[in-house]
Amino acid sequence: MVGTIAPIVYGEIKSARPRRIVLLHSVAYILGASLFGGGIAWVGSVLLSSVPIADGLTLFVSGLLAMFCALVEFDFIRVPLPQSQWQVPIGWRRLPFELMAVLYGMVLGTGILTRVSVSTFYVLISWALICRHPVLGAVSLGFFGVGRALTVIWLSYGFRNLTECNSLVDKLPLWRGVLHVLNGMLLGMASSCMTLASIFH
Amino acid sequence: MSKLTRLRSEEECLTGCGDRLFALIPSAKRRLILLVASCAMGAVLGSSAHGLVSYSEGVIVICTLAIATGISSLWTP
Repeated sequence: MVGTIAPIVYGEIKSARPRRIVLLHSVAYILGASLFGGGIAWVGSVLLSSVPIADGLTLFVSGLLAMFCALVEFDFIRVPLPQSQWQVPIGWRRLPFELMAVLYGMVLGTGILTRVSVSTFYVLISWALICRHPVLGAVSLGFFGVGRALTVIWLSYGFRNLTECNSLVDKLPLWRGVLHVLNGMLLGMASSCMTLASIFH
Repeated sequence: MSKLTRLRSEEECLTGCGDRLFALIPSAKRRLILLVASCAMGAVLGSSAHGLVSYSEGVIVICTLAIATGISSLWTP
Protein backbone atom coordinates (compact mmCIF):
# COMPACT_ATOMS: atom_id res chain seq x y z
CA MET A 1 0.00 0.00 0.00
CA VAL A 2 2.88 2.29 0.80
CA GLY A 3 4.04 1.80 -2.76
CA THR A 4 0.72 3.16 -3.99
CA ILE A 5 0.06 6.11 -1.70
CA ALA A 6 3.62 7.42 -1.36
CA PRO A 7 4.18 8.06 -5.11
CA ILE A 8 1.02 10.16 -5.20
CA VAL A 9 2.16 12.22 -2.25
CA TYR A 10 5.75 12.64 -3.42
CA GLY A 11 4.82 12.77 -7.10
CA GLU A 12 4.17 15.70 -9.37
CA ILE A 13 0.81 16.44 -7.79
CA LYS A 14 1.62 18.98 -5.09
CA SER A 15 -1.72 20.58 -4.36
CA ALA A 16 -4.09 19.97 -1.47
CA ARG A 17 -4.99 16.65 -3.10
CA PRO A 18 -2.25 14.47 -1.55
CA ARG A 19 -3.13 15.66 1.93
CA ARG A 20 -6.78 14.85 1.28
CA ILE A 21 -5.88 11.42 -0.09
CA VAL A 22 -3.74 10.51 2.91
CA LEU A 23 -6.52 11.72 5.22
CA LEU A 24 -9.16 9.71 3.35
CA HIS A 25 -6.93 6.66 3.34
CA SER A 26 -6.25 6.97 7.08
CA VAL A 27 -9.92 7.39 7.94
CA ALA A 28 -10.77 4.40 5.74
CA TYR A 29 -8.21 2.30 7.63
CA ILE A 30 -9.85 3.14 10.95
CA LEU A 31 -13.36 2.68 9.56
CA GLY A 32 -12.54 -0.68 7.97
CA ALA A 33 -10.86 -1.93 11.14
CA SER A 34 -13.71 -0.70 13.37
CA LEU A 35 -16.39 -2.27 11.17
CA PHE A 36 -14.50 -5.55 11.19
CA GLY A 37 -13.99 -5.44 14.97
CA GLY A 38 -17.64 -4.58 15.58
CA GLY A 39 -18.73 -7.34 13.20
CA ILE A 40 -16.53 -9.96 14.87
CA ALA A 41 -17.83 -8.96 18.31
CA TRP A 42 -21.41 -9.10 17.03
CA VAL A 43 -20.80 -12.61 15.62
CA GLY A 44 -19.34 -13.55 19.01
CA SER A 45 -22.38 -12.18 20.82
CA VAL A 46 -24.69 -14.27 18.58
CA LEU A 47 -22.62 -17.47 18.70
CA LEU A 48 -21.79 -17.33 22.41
CA SER A 49 -25.10 -15.89 23.62
CA SER A 50 -26.15 -19.18 25.19
CA VAL A 51 -22.69 -19.95 26.60
CA PRO A 52 -22.25 -18.74 30.19
CA ILE A 53 -18.92 -16.89 30.38
CA ALA A 54 -17.69 -16.16 33.89
CA ASP A 55 -16.24 -12.76 34.81
CA GLY A 56 -12.58 -12.61 33.96
CA LEU A 57 -12.69 -15.58 31.58
CA THR A 58 -12.25 -13.27 28.56
CA LEU A 59 -9.07 -11.95 30.14
CA PHE A 60 -7.82 -15.40 31.09
CA VAL A 61 -8.37 -16.92 27.63
CA SER A 62 -6.88 -13.87 25.87
CA GLY A 63 -3.89 -14.03 28.21
CA LEU A 64 -3.26 -17.68 27.38
CA LEU A 65 -3.57 -17.01 23.66
CA ALA A 66 -1.21 -14.03 23.98
CA MET A 67 1.38 -16.33 25.60
CA PHE A 68 1.03 -18.82 22.75
CA CYS A 69 1.48 -16.01 20.20
CA ALA A 70 4.49 -14.68 22.17
CA LEU A 71 6.12 -18.11 21.85
CA VAL A 72 5.37 -18.03 18.11
CA GLU A 73 6.85 -14.54 17.75
CA PHE A 74 9.97 -15.54 19.67
CA ASP A 75 10.26 -18.52 17.30
CA PHE A 76 10.01 -21.08 20.11
CA ILE A 77 6.95 -22.62 18.43
CA ARG A 78 6.61 -22.91 14.67
CA VAL A 79 2.96 -23.16 13.68
CA PRO A 80 1.57 -22.09 10.31
CA LEU A 81 -1.08 -19.55 11.29
CA PRO A 82 -4.16 -19.29 9.06
CA GLN A 83 -4.01 -16.30 6.74
CA SER A 84 -5.23 -15.17 3.37
CA GLN A 85 -2.71 -15.01 0.53
CA TRP A 86 -4.95 -12.59 -1.39
CA GLN A 87 -3.49 -9.24 -2.38
CA VAL A 88 -5.36 -6.04 -3.11
CA PRO A 89 -6.05 -5.76 -6.86
CA ILE A 90 -3.46 -3.65 -8.64
CA GLY A 91 -6.17 -2.55 -11.06
CA TRP A 92 -7.69 -0.32 -8.37
CA ARG A 93 -4.79 2.09 -9.02
CA ARG A 94 -6.62 3.16 -12.16
CA LEU A 95 -9.61 4.37 -10.15
CA PRO A 96 -9.96 8.04 -9.15
CA PHE A 97 -7.43 8.81 -6.38
CA GLU A 98 -10.05 9.44 -3.70
CA LEU A 99 -11.98 6.24 -4.44
CA MET A 100 -8.75 4.24 -4.66
CA ALA A 101 -7.53 5.56 -1.28
CA VAL A 102 -10.84 4.72 0.42
CA LEU A 103 -11.12 1.25 -1.16
CA TYR A 104 -7.56 0.25 -0.30
CA GLY A 105 -7.96 1.68 3.20
CA MET A 106 -11.22 -0.14 3.93
CA VAL A 107 -9.97 -3.49 2.64
CA LEU A 108 -6.51 -3.32 4.24
CA GLY A 109 -8.01 -1.88 7.44
CA THR A 110 -9.80 -5.17 8.14
CA GLY A 111 -6.36 -6.77 8.34
CA ILE A 112 -7.69 -10.26 7.67
CA LEU A 113 -8.21 -10.15 3.91
CA THR A 114 -4.49 -9.98 3.16
CA ARG A 115 -1.40 -11.53 4.75
CA VAL A 116 -0.87 -11.06 8.49
CA SER A 117 2.62 -9.85 9.42
CA VAL A 118 2.54 -10.69 13.16
CA SER A 119 0.54 -13.18 15.23
CA THR A 120 -0.51 -10.39 17.62
CA PHE A 121 -3.45 -9.81 15.27
CA TYR A 122 -5.03 -13.15 16.29
CA VAL A 123 -5.15 -12.04 19.93
CA LEU A 124 -7.15 -8.97 18.87
CA ILE A 125 -9.63 -11.01 16.84
CA SER A 126 -10.15 -13.64 19.51
CA TRP A 127 -10.58 -10.99 22.19
CA ALA A 128 -13.19 -9.18 20.06
CA LEU A 129 -15.00 -12.49 19.54
CA ILE A 130 -15.06 -13.43 23.22
CA CYS A 131 -15.86 -9.97 24.59
CA ARG A 132 -19.25 -10.13 22.78
CA HIS A 133 -19.58 -6.35 22.83
CA PRO A 134 -19.73 -4.78 19.33
CA VAL A 135 -18.79 -1.29 20.54
CA LEU A 136 -15.74 -2.56 22.46
CA GLY A 137 -14.78 -4.70 19.46
CA ALA A 138 -15.07 -1.71 17.11
CA VAL A 139 -13.05 0.57 19.41
CA SER A 140 -10.24 -1.90 20.05
CA LEU A 141 -9.84 -2.96 16.41
CA GLY A 142 -10.18 0.73 15.47
CA PHE A 143 -6.80 1.24 17.14
CA PHE A 144 -5.37 -1.30 14.71
CA GLY A 145 -6.51 1.07 11.95
CA VAL A 146 -4.92 3.97 13.84
CA GLY A 147 -1.60 2.10 13.90
CA ARG A 148 -1.79 1.43 10.16
CA ALA A 149 -2.73 5.03 9.46
CA LEU A 150 0.22 6.31 11.52
CA THR A 151 2.69 4.43 9.32
CA VAL A 152 1.18 5.83 6.13
CA ILE A 153 1.16 9.38 7.53
CA TRP A 154 4.81 9.01 8.59
CA LEU A 155 5.88 7.62 5.24
CA SER A 156 3.91 10.30 3.38
CA TYR A 157 5.23 13.31 5.26
CA GLY A 158 8.40 12.16 7.01
CA PHE A 159 10.64 12.26 3.94
CA ARG A 160 11.81 14.87 1.47
CA ASN A 161 11.12 12.80 -1.64
CA LEU A 162 10.04 9.42 -2.96
CA THR A 163 13.64 8.16 -3.28
CA GLU A 164 14.26 8.64 0.45
CA CYS A 165 10.94 6.97 1.26
CA ASN A 166 11.64 4.02 -1.04
CA SER A 167 15.13 3.50 0.39
CA LEU A 168 13.60 3.05 3.84
CA VAL A 169 10.92 0.71 2.51
CA ASP A 170 13.67 -1.38 0.84
CA LYS A 171 15.48 -1.75 4.18
CA LEU A 172 12.38 -2.83 6.13
CA PRO A 173 12.84 -6.62 5.60
CA LEU A 174 16.20 -6.41 7.43
CA TRP A 175 14.32 -5.40 10.58
CA ARG A 176 11.78 -8.24 10.44
CA GLY A 177 13.55 -10.24 13.19
CA VAL A 178 13.55 -7.25 15.52
CA LEU A 179 9.88 -6.68 14.76
CA HIS A 180 8.98 -10.21 15.88
CA VAL A 181 11.05 -9.90 19.06
CA LEU A 182 9.35 -6.59 19.94
CA ASN A 183 5.92 -8.08 19.27
CA GLY A 184 6.85 -11.13 21.35
CA MET A 185 7.84 -8.89 24.26
CA LEU A 186 4.57 -6.95 24.04
CA LEU A 187 2.61 -10.20 23.90
CA GLY A 188 4.51 -11.58 26.88
CA MET A 189 3.69 -8.47 28.90
CA ALA A 190 0.05 -8.52 27.81
CA SER A 191 -0.24 -12.22 28.58
CA SER A 192 0.94 -12.09 32.18
CA CYS A 193 -0.89 -8.80 32.77
CA MET A 194 -4.27 -10.15 31.58
CA THR A 195 -3.88 -13.58 33.19
CA LEU A 196 -2.96 -12.12 36.59
CA ALA A 197 -5.73 -9.50 36.37
CA SER A 198 -8.25 -12.29 35.68
CA ILE A 199 -7.01 -14.26 38.71
CA PHE A 200 -7.18 -11.23 41.04
CA HIS A 201 -10.61 -10.31 39.57
CA MET B 1 36.97 4.24 -9.32
CA SER B 2 35.78 1.72 -11.86
CA LYS B 3 32.18 0.65 -11.99
CA LEU B 4 33.08 -2.86 -10.78
CA THR B 5 35.01 -1.51 -7.76
CA ARG B 6 32.17 0.82 -6.87
CA LEU B 7 29.64 -2.00 -7.09
CA ARG B 8 31.86 -4.21 -4.88
CA SER B 9 32.22 -1.53 -2.23
CA GLU B 10 28.45 -0.95 -2.26
CA GLU B 11 27.88 -4.69 -1.88
CA GLU B 12 30.33 -4.89 1.04
CA CYS B 13 28.63 -1.93 2.71
CA LEU B 14 25.20 -3.58 2.36
CA THR B 15 26.53 -6.88 3.76
CA GLY B 16 28.04 -5.01 6.72
CA CYS B 17 24.69 -3.34 7.44
CA GLY B 18 22.93 -6.72 7.22
CA ASP B 19 25.41 -8.29 9.66
CA ARG B 20 24.99 -5.48 12.17
CA LEU B 21 21.20 -5.75 11.99
CA PHE B 22 21.39 -9.54 12.25
CA ALA B 23 23.35 -9.11 15.47
CA LEU B 24 20.34 -7.31 16.93
CA ILE B 25 18.30 -10.50 16.66
CA PRO B 26 19.03 -12.38 19.87
CA SER B 27 19.97 -16.04 20.28
CA ALA B 28 17.51 -18.56 21.78
CA LYS B 29 18.87 -17.97 25.28
CA ARG B 30 18.60 -14.20 24.98
CA ARG B 31 15.10 -14.50 23.50
CA LEU B 32 14.04 -16.61 26.50
CA ILE B 33 15.44 -13.99 28.88
CA LEU B 34 13.55 -11.27 26.99
CA LEU B 35 10.32 -13.29 27.18
CA VAL B 36 10.68 -13.93 30.91
CA ALA B 37 11.57 -10.27 31.55
CA SER B 38 8.57 -9.02 29.59
CA CYS B 39 6.28 -11.49 31.40
CA ALA B 40 7.65 -10.23 34.72
CA MET B 41 6.95 -6.62 33.73
CA GLY B 42 3.43 -7.61 32.68
CA ALA B 43 2.95 -9.45 35.98
CA VAL B 44 3.88 -6.32 37.93
CA LEU B 45 1.44 -4.28 35.85
CA GLY B 46 -1.27 -6.94 36.10
CA SER B 47 -1.02 -7.25 39.86
CA SER B 48 -0.75 -3.53 40.59
CA ALA B 49 -3.42 -2.35 38.15
CA HIS B 50 -5.59 -5.49 38.09
CA GLY B 51 -8.67 -3.46 38.98
CA LEU B 52 -8.30 -1.23 35.95
CA VAL B 53 -7.43 -4.09 33.62
CA SER B 54 -10.21 -6.40 34.74
CA TYR B 55 -12.84 -3.66 35.00
CA SER B 56 -12.26 -2.72 31.35
CA GLU B 57 -12.05 -6.40 30.31
CA GLY B 58 -8.52 -5.71 29.12
CA VAL B 59 -9.48 -2.98 26.62
CA ILE B 60 -6.41 -0.90 27.49
CA VAL B 61 -4.05 -3.83 26.92
CA ILE B 62 -5.81 -4.85 23.72
CA CYS B 63 -5.75 -1.29 22.34
CA THR B 64 -1.98 -1.12 22.96
CA LEU B 65 -1.54 -4.43 21.17
CA ALA B 66 -3.79 -3.15 18.35
CA ILE B 67 -1.64 -0.06 17.74
CA ALA B 68 1.52 -2.19 17.75
CA THR B 69 -0.08 -4.63 15.30
CA GLY B 70 -1.15 -1.77 13.05
CA ILE B 71 2.38 -0.38 12.96
CA SER B 72 3.76 -3.89 12.34
CA SER B 73 1.56 -4.05 9.23
CA LEU B 74 4.21 -1.92 7.57
CA TRP B 75 6.05 -5.23 7.12
CA THR B 76 3.11 -6.88 5.34
CA PRO B 77 4.30 -7.86 1.85
